[in-house]
Amino acid sequence: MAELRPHVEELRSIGVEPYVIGSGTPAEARDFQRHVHAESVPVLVDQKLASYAAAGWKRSATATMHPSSWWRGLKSMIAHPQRKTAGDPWQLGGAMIVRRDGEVTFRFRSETGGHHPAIATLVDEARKAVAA
Amino acid sequence: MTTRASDDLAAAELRDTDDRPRAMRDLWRDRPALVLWVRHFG
Repeated sequence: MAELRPHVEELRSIGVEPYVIGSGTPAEARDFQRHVHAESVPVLVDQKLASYAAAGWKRSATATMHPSSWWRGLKSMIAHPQRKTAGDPWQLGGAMIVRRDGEVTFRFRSETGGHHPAIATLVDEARKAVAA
Repeated sequence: MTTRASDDLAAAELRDTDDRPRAMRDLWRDRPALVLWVRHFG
């Protein structure tokens, strides 16, 4: 989310509202929001993991701990020191852009821990979603 | 090629940081939404 923060206003100016969903508690979500100085980004929680399941995101200890995630995790920890894990540690995430009519114009599924779409890709896809 | 958000996804119930309920479908009701699901808060 720290990577997203500098692009929030750009996304809003394009006409796309960013949201972050995690699997911790509401209090943990607020703490996380403050920790990464992203109070302007709406953070929501899904402790039942219903949206994760409906979106088709992976839940796997093997994938989460895959060696390919170690280097990304190390870089991330250096850039944004991680505190305790708040939420389901084996639940991987993803990203979607959904238009007002419910059409999903972009979908990205994390295959291993630390596997994220590039911010530039998200901004580009946001522009396409609005232009479509 | 685009797909449509499933009914299950649209109906998923979320909660905000004040513990108020929020339906997933509300996220894209007024404008397109970029939704990022994170692995955990940390």
